Amino acid sequence: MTAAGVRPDAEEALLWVDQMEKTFSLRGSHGEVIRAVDGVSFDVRRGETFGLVGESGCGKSTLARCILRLIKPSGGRAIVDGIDLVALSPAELRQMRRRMQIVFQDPYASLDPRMTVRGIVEEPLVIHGIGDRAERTERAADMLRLVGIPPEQMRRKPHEFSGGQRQRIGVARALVLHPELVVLDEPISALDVSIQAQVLNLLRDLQQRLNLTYLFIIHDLSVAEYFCDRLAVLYLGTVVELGDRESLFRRPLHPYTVSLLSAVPIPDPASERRRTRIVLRGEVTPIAGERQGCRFKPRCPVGRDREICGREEPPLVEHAPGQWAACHFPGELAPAQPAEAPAA
Amino acid sequence: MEAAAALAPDNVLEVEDLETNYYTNEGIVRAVRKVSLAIERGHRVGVVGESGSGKSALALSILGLIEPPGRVAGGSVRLNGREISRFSDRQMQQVRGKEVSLVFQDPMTALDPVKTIGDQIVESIRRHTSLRRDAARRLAVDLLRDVEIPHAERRLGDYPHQYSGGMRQRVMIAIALANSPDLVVADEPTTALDVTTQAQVLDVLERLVTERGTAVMLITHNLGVVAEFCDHVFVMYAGRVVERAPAEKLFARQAHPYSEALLESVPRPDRLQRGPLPTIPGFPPSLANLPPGCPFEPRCPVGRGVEVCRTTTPVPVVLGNGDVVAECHFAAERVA
Repeated sequence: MTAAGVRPDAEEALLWVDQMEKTFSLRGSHGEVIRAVDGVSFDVRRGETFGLVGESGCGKSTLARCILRLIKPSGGRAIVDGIDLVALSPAELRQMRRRMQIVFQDPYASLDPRMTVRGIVEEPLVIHGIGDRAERTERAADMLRLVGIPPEQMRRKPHEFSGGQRQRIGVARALVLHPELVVLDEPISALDVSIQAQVLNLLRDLQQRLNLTYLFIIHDLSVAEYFCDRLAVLYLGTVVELGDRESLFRRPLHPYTVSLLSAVPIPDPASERRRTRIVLRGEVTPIAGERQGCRFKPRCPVGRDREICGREEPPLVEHAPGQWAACHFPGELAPAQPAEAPAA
Repeated sequence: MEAAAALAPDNVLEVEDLETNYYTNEGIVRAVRKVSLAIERGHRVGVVGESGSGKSALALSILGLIEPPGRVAGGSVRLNGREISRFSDRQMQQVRGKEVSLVFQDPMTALDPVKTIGDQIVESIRRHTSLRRDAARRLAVDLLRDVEIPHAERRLGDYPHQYSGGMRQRVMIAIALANSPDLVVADEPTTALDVTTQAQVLDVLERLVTERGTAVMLITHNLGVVAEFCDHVFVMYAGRVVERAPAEKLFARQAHPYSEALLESVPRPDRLQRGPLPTIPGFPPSLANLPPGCPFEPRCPVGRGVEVCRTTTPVPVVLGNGDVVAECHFAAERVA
């Protein structure tokens, strides 16, 4: 039995996240816990880009770290190509790490300023004992060339590069082991708009060339829509909606998804949408201890005053093929305006 | 044309030939290069451009907040018709917070972590008014309510770290508007915030400046925010305003190829796109060592390699009925 949010034949997926949980104990409390990740399930097929979206505090980064076993989950499974990472011994996990890599948000903080670019890109090869010195240098040079950094600049240090170039170096380091699964944790958020486009194009190009599978953590919904094949919208540690990008952005079912989309400013003053914006009040506030009903209720434009929403937690249900939503009244809040036809 | 616009009587801000340099080891960095602009009372002007285009330096120069090794090297800044560019720090303190105020990107650095929110608002009110403490405190509660802080009275005694990021930014807006200034300069006020929180902050800012008729200079890299909030746009590149236009016109058609490239490089949430995004090749030029000719020429899809663009600095071209100005040799034919 697969959990809601997972397609049939989950065994075929490169990544299958099964009811992942992560709780943090509150200091000074009597066994009270924060459920940062509260039973999340989804599957990602080879070559796919799966997006995790939601506000800060929704648990998307914690979830990604649990999947990569950078932190230990409290429950659930993260199955990569049939192997449950949660059950692995440290030595086995180390072997698996070659197959999954992460690109971090801040290219200023994630590259060691004392190392040369060559050292930075070669380091994963050294750690995993791959090749001899000459082979490693060659692989690092190949990878740098692939991301658009001239290998002649390998002796330089990170500070001699711009933000966009540093992120390319971060990508080269993540890909030098030829991983299958790459977690992109807000990889463009620290970059200038014009540079964001360059890095996005690079990531897509590399995905096609190297047949990569991406798990993309992103708070910018415009970028999410542009880049992801399927997405999960997280709210307070759970999936409130999950589907392919077309249905999620064209026919969102959960009021939270609709509100999130309506909050995205559109670079077109003539757009009708700005007049019908839904401004959510309040913020994501993690609740400790037991909770009753829907976790979005306090902010929900649909269910704020409805009895059932305060009583029963809505389960994640497949309302349309491949589109799940956890809401008692899915689709009741419609997007402000029917979206225009796809641009040619 | 520009001089005529600058003489219009209802401008809250008039900037003429403003020049700001940073004197560094690598040479003189020309961050703001003879910029002239005017902001009409009650207008909302967006200033956009890449990092290093000079947008923050322009704002700091207007506010008299440039710090060494930087210096305002020339030009004039008139606020409400009064020349303030040669004011002393003391005189500027009288102006800031009263006639013009500021909202920064990171409210945590602008708020004092060891003072309560209430004390900080009261202080800023009393700096420019003769209100007694208790009256200022009542005003502070009203202001917090105005920016939609729940339980305003109680939360006046909280410290900044007890507020969320969005609440802190709303407090900054409350402080900025406490004395009903004529102009608010907001430097990336929503950049560090979530999209839902950004919508809350912009919503509050929009309501307050509308009620008060405050002019806003909004510095941002987010073109969506500009489209939603601003009525005019200044596009900066290499220390110059290379295009200025009413927002509707700029988003509909860009006279400057840089404006066009900037707009094109952003994925649009209102249309499904799939192919590669158009990018701007190369990097902005070093402001310590500007090439001759147009500073955008090496990256420009229109003028790259073109003789006139390589050799001659473009002058401002006035277009349409005078409300669009672009510094491009091809501006006229681009919008023809």
